[in-house]
Amino acid sequence: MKIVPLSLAFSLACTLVSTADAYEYHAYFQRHCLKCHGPDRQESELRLDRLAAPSADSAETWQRVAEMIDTGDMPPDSETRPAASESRSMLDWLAGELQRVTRPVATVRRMNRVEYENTVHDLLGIDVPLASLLPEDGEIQGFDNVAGGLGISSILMERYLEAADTAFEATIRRIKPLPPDTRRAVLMEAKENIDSVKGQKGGVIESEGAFVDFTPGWPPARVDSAHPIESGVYRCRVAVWPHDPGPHRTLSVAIFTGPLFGPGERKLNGIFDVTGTADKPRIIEFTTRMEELHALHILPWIYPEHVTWRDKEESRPGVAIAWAETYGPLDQAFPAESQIRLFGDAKTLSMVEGDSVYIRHRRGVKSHYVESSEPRADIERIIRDLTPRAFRRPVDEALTDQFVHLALARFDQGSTFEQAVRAGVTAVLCSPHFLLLNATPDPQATQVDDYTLASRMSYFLWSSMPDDELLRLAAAGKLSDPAVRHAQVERMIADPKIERFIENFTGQWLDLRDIEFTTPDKTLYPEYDELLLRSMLAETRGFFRHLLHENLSVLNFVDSDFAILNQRLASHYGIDGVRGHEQFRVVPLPEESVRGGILTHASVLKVTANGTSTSPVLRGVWILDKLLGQPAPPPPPGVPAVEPDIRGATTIRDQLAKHREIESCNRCHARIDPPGFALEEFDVIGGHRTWYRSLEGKGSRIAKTNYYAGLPVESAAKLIDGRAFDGFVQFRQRLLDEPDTVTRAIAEKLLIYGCGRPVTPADRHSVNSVVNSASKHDLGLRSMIHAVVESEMFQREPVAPAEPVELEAPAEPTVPAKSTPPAESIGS
Amino acid sequence: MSSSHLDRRTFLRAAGVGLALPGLQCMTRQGLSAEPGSEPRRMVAICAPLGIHTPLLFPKTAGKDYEVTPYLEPLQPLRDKFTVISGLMHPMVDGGHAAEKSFLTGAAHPGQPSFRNTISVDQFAAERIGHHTRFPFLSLSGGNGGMSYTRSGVLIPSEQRPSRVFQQLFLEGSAAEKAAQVRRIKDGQSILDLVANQTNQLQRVASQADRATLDQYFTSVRELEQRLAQAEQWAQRPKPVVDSKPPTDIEDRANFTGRMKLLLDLIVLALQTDSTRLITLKGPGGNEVVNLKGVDDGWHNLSHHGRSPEKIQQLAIIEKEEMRLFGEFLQNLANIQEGGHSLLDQTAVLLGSNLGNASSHNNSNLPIVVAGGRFQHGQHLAFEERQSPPLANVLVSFLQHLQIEVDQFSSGTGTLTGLAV
Repeated sequence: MKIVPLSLAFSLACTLVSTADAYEYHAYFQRHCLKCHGPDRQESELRLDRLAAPSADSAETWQRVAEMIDTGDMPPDSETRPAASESRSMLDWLAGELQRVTRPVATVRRMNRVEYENTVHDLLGIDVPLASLLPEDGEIQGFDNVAGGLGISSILMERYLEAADTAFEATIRRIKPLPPDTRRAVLMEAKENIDSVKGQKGGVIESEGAFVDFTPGWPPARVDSAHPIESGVYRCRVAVWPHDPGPHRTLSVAIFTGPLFGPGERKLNGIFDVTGTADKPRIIEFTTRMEELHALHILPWIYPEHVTWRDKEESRPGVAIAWAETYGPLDQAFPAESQIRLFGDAKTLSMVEGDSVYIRHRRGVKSHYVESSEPRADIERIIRDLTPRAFRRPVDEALTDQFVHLALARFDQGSTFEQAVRAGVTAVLCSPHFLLLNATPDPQATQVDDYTLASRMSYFLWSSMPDDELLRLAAAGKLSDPAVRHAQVERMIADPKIERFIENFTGQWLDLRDIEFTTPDKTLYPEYDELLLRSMLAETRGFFRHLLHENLSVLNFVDSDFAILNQRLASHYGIDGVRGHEQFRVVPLPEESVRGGILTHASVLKVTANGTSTSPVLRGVWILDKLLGQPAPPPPPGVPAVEPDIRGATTIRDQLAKHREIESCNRCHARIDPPGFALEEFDVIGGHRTWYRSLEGKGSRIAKTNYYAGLPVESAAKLIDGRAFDGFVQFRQRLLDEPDTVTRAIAEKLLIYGCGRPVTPADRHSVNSVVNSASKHDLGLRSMIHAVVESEMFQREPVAPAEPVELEAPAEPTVPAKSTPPAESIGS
Repeated sequence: MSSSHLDRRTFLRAAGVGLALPGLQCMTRQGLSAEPGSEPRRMVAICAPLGIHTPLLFPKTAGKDYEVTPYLEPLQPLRDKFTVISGLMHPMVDGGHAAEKSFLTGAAHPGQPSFRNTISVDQFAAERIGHHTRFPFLSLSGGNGGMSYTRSGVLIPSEQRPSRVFQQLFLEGSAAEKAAQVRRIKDGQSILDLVANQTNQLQRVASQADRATLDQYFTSVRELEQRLAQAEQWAQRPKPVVDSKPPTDIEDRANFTGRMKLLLDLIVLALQTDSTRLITLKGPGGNEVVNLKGVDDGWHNLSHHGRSPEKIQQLAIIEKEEMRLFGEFLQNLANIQEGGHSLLDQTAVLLGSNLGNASSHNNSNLPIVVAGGRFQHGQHLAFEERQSPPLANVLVSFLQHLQIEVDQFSSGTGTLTGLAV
């Protein structure tokens, strides 16, 4: 628990403390540290009375000192605590010193694979998957977009070559599209469905001319005659109505598109409520890209599940599907828009018929390739046009020439026009000027230039390159104006691309990316289904989105009086009155509900558990890192881990009590376990519980299930600072009692992600500025994002250390002044 | 779903490629000495990501006279060709599942938010002996991820489709495809040359802190240039001819036996044809309900058995199958002769897991089986937990088996005591 709160009101004093004001750190050490880290004892081999004043060499030790004081880990519980204000002065002084002496951290980084895919998509106007071609990215401080964590290897370079090749290929449409056409399947006219009904396979039936399916299993509803016969963008429509839904259920269908059988990804196009009647069915409509012969998979997702032998009191609910159709291809351009974007539409270009292509339902189809009557001129024009867009800033001629020469050389060596362009484009997409971010042209500058700002803003909020408007403003030098930046951030948040930020940030901050890592045990958690899983993710993303758009306080992450729910989640949470799974809405929480804040989100509770049991340790560690910004150190080697036991005879709490008897364990577990105990009130899928479910039991089996009532949950505990709580609700209140800790933690996470570099104790001023600035707007999430963009970390290059840095002498005389590129361009 | 297995008979037929081997060896860059006893050394490392239930693996008695445990039973025909080792761990490697990242690297604290990995043992070896073969290494996976990490700690994407590996190893493309391949290599070479120059220019103006990133970029480009130069040479040489049909991938993850067998059979073929000498495999293991009699819960859930006897029983069904397939794999290697030795004697094989107890996510007392290679086998090497040498000592032993002269790797400070050559 945080011991040293940093008062919001007080922290306007957080300007740089000049080095002249030598802070009396010796006195601080004398009062609080030297007993264990002094002449007599050197716990952890640390002796502070001899620690040299902060310098580049001692910075690492000082950072540790700062972290220990900041988290309140030191001095330990048994000693007298320094006053909050005393530690704060120490930390503020130290932050200034560390900033002065720390060797600047790396800021240049490569794109991660998500950013790579988005950037190439936005640059070329294509949507072919690329991220999956690249190796996984490393993480620093919990995020995969941080300098230092994004290694580069020859394997990666090889994949970049491949990915660029794939991207280039995707810009060209090889086959002339057919005129758009409607393809329709009436389900009860399809032989497979008629046979299924006749043979009573999977219990499907016919009702009022429609095919009624009860489960997402086999056989599926077949709509083959609606499937497109060539690749393109299609508008899909499906007519459905509910069959015997019962009084409380809302039936739903999930519609996937992808290969009918076999391998390949199936894309979820949406979960739709099934409403209407046989006479007036609901017509579901969406537009999506489909490949040749891709199928519509229409799966009934029905909750609560109906078990035929058990739930005899009701008729079986099913989804009636009358017909399905596709219309398209809607994208008729030939050559494709993406090709025109890359190649231009010069009269010299033409599409030439090449080899025959086999397509199942079309005869005599020819593949096409791009040819030019002025190949050399066109190659040069295409590459010159692409380079500045790809590099997100003006590029001087000499650099562009390199790419032009490469492409022309390949052409002269016998490559075709298209192959030569391909080589040039691939070179651009493998260039460090494309792949590296934050490479400012002027290493001496302390303030980043407008183009770098444009990129930082867009990689922060869109995980991609800046759009035309940002680049126009950068060109006009207007992004240096805070008011313009503010307006741009507002515009960017309103743009649909903000979803990338929401998904990437919550995916990593809250570990939502790992939500499918385990599947809840079917016996213990029979109520878990895929509808719940998808709803969990939608809730947390929706919650984040709501705070962002409404600029609500980040303390809502700890506790809120509303939730973002659909019917599936509302019933999971025991909240009445929410109908429909499709739409998530803001639901005011009833007084008696335990919900509110992300710690009550089923998603968070699921990612912090495994499929069968919860661990207060994992959840405690999670809270310390994610909400309090104080990651726990790894356990010391050689200590046996606590092994969960779901047989019902012992609880994890009893086992942990034994664990804490070991002093070396207790040091951290006294901090880790209590928050974890509070969350024991929630099971692995986020249900609220007062007893554990168990596979074996002395007690009786729970009706309609195969599990037993196990031991009762105990969620009362005492925080390391002595404050007690009687359960989760009080624990949550304890978190709110010290709002600064949570606020700072969230500010730090946003700074790490937003700036793409680690936050160190030397960055304390940036953290302070973000917290202060947001506190003027009731800690609104959007205000906090504005503050990140305005922070020193975001705006400035890391300050060079005071001591001289050895610079390697260049092998040749440096470039004479006349060829020095203008400040806003790169290359040489 | 259909599957075509590379069955035993296929191997007998494939053994014909042994005749083609001398020719193939002449084509390696450095060439191999024809003297007997100098046949290439190889290694295979397999990680079981969901652990191996050690109470059913580790014998109670140490030494040569250990009693047969349920999991070691299928390996008994080769009792003098393997060693089971208990009590080992990578020091400071923790973090539960995250520790799989460090299984072949030994890098500390893989679960921490700022973890940086280091080079895996196979890549360390590939840097030294990888150029002898068409493929410097193979990183395979039965699920996601992989086991191999570059020097900069980047996970190398693994190959998950046996059919694709087979194609790369053994199938010659059409003349047009080959020409396209050569053109692509040439494109790549001129692109990399240009990119290297640009990186160099950027290095000159970069700040001290950023220079490391650019250095890494530059080195990567140069390394790939070298690899492309080798690839260009190999592209002009015929691939080894094998008599077996290309495998058909099995998509159904529940078909554990079929999928694992395809991978293991492929490893044998790759080693036998000397297409590569360094192979890592991350075994399967996810939420799938494995299609074996008596199993009706997801594998991952079963590994979190929470001491429930029923779950352990189901888990054991899967893991026994795993060991049976492993035994079959070793036998296949043992059946192939190369010079005066069997392929198994030429190949050091590691099977193990980063989890000592999957249910508690413990990363100590890891299940480790070492087979093949030129080691003294036929024993249970039992180390006292906490006083044991680091697991990386096994990796040092492997490197020495490969005739790479090192006595340190990662936290390893020497070869593993008791695993003498």
